[in-house]
Amino acid sequence: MENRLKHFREDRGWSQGELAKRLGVSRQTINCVETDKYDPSLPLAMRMAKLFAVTVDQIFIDHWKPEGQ
Amino acid sequence: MSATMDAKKLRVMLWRMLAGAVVGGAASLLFFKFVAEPNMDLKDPSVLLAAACGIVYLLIGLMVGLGAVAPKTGAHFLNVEDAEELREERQKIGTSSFACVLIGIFVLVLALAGGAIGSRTALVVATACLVGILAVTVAGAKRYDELTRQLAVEASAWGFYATLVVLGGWAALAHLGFVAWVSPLAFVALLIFLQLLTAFIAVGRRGMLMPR
Repeated sequence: MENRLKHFREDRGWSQGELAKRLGVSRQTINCVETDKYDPSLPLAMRMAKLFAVTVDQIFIDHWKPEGQ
Repeated sequence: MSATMDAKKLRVMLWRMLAGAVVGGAASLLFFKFVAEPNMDLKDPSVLLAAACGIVYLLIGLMVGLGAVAPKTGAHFLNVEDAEELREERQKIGTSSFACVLIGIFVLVLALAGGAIGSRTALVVATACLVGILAVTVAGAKRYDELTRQLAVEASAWGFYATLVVLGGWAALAHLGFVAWVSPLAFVALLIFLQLLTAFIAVGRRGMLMPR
């Protein structure tokens, strides 16, 4: 899933390690999310959204559309 | 990501693989020359398989352990961003490396049994290793974050299917009389080898073997 985590993180001037600490995960997890190797769980996505004061769909972009729309 | 960056990462990965192969090859040669040859019946394929499997686990455990105790050095050959990341993950990496070392000793002791060491001594050491592996794994799992947990689940699933196909298939063929069944030692060695292989598959499928 496409995401803008790196954009929001860099906007705050945080390193991957700093963001990882704030979210209580490993730096590798942040790296894998940013490079589309791993889609985070819903609780972690919610925490990310809360941390950056945005909505989840502002960070994670899903291009899927229901049939017929 | 730019093509230059991809080429650089690929070069780093190839150098790391080459260095790993050289260090691993040299350590294995020394091990076989000074430990295995004088103390193991290497003419028995299952002993050879167990010895090879054990030394691979032992080396992986020691290399990762080195990264945990000496992060600056470890950052050169482990797939991390920098030494600081190894410091942050020291406890998790430490328990993983310890578990790998214990698995290596477990299978090596079984390979040595009946030769250099008696079966009773081997039983005591192997049991201690198994208890240690379980204790270290349970303690280490508490420090897993969600990515590590997910990778463990995926590696376990791959491990199960690989075991089902390879050992289950082999057992079925042996039951039907088409092949000979493997020795218990070869079975143990194959089990842990398949788990290692499938762990690499799980990590590799996510593109996490590529240098960061």
